Amino acid sequence: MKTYLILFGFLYLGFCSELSASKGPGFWKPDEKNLSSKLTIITTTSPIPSNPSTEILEKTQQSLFKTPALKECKKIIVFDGVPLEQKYRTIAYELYIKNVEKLVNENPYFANTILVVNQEFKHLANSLREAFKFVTTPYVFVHQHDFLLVREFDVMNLIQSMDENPNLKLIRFNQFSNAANWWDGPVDSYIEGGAHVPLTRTFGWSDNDHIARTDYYLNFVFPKVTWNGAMEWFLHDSKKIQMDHLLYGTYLYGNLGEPPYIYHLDGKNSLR
Amino acid sequence: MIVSMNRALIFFENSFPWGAKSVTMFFFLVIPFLSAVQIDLKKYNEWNIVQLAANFLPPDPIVVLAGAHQGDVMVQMAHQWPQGHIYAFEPNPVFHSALKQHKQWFSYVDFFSSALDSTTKKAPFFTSSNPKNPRIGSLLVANSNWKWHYNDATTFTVQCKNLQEWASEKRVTRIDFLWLNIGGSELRVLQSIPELIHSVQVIFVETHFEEFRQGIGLYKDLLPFLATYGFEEIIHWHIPNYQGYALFAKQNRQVSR
Repeated sequence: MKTYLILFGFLYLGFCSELSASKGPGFWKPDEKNLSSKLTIITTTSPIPSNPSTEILEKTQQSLFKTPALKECKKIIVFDGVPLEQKYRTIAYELYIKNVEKLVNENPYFANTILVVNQEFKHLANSLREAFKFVTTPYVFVHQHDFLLVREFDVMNLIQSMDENPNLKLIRFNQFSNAANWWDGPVDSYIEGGAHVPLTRTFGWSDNDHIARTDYYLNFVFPKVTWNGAMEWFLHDSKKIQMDHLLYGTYLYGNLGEPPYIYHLDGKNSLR
Repeated sequence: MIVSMNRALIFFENSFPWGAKSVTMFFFLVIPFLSAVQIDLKKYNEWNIVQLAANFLPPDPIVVLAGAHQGDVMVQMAHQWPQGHIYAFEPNPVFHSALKQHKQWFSYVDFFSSALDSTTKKAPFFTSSNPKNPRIGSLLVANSNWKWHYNDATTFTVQCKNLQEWASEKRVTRIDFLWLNIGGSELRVLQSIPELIHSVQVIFVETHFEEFRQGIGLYKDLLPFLATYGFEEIIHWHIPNYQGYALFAKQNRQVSR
């Protein structure tokens, strides 16, 4: 009996030490090759004045490689349709799609990419919904065609943090410094459940580049989108988010006061 | 608000004893007036062309809308100018039947199933089966190198009308706003109304930079043609070397770009 108790005691201690170690930062160093089973990168694109040139898209897709681990991930580029009011853009946009098809076959930054083309204008959210039909990973990196990733981030520990902490639902890369502002509200460094990477809690919901849980999109974001529009039109409500932050689970990547991670090339106004 | 205005006036009168009244008048009356008459083009985009055009038009304009499709622009116009009159042309029978359904709501809109062209005649009308732009339709045949986009999958015969002849028939003596989105025939329609064009105040056209279709009116020819009639380009949204939308007006308002 004594022997059993001692054996059980050792087993219990071993279990406890394993558990505490797994919660400590840096304990788990995931294999970059496994990232492709965790994360899909979705780039959303739409008609802009620089079409049919692919220059902006090439720059922004290339910028993803600042974080080398992202190279392994499956990529989806989803094309929205042309709005009724901008039908004059159709020819240039169709040529743009053809040019991107060429890039997928020729350009290494476009390797491992599939294209999803919406025939009709659906705006960002519903266009993205089409891309989600091809997502098989638990996380998505939603990237817009005119946002440049300017600094590397620790994607492996970010995904590990999201794996361990279900409160982390959407981690956004800020195009401004991580500081309180009219959109994000009184940001702070409180992270319910902790994380292995620096994060800042935000009370804003933005569709600027972010990593999110796939099921968060399917079960929480998309049901709120009731007509063609951008996600933030339906989800951004600073007061609501402050009242129930755990429901929205929005964070900015990086510490408080950290400079921007992305830069907006502003495709809409690039030639105006 | 009134109290603070008074305080500001007193402050200015004390600060500028050598002409306090003229200074205060300038700040509180002239500057707001100047900014009110100027049209800020940054406020406008492809979604509110009708509202932009309204700045250059009387409140009860006579409007000719060619290429009315299913009526999205027509509805905007009808709401913008309930005191005006709109003549909407759409030769594609599928779109025309959808367009006509608006008749019950807007008594001041008349619908026509003819196409506008330089002469009155019957002519083939080409439509494409392009899912990205199901509205493609034109009296002009697509050039072979653009067949991938303008595939001219369906052809049917339509009645074409010369706008000036049509206006005489209908006793329309003036057109204030002419909207032409007719697949490349815009310039030749404008060239075929040498008298009526003098009455036009504002013109909206689809612009073309390439010969997508045979006989298409190019932007480089359109610009000097309209300039001879005193039209100035107010705004031009376009994809360089491809297509665009442009609004021209006989300049009667200041614009800030």
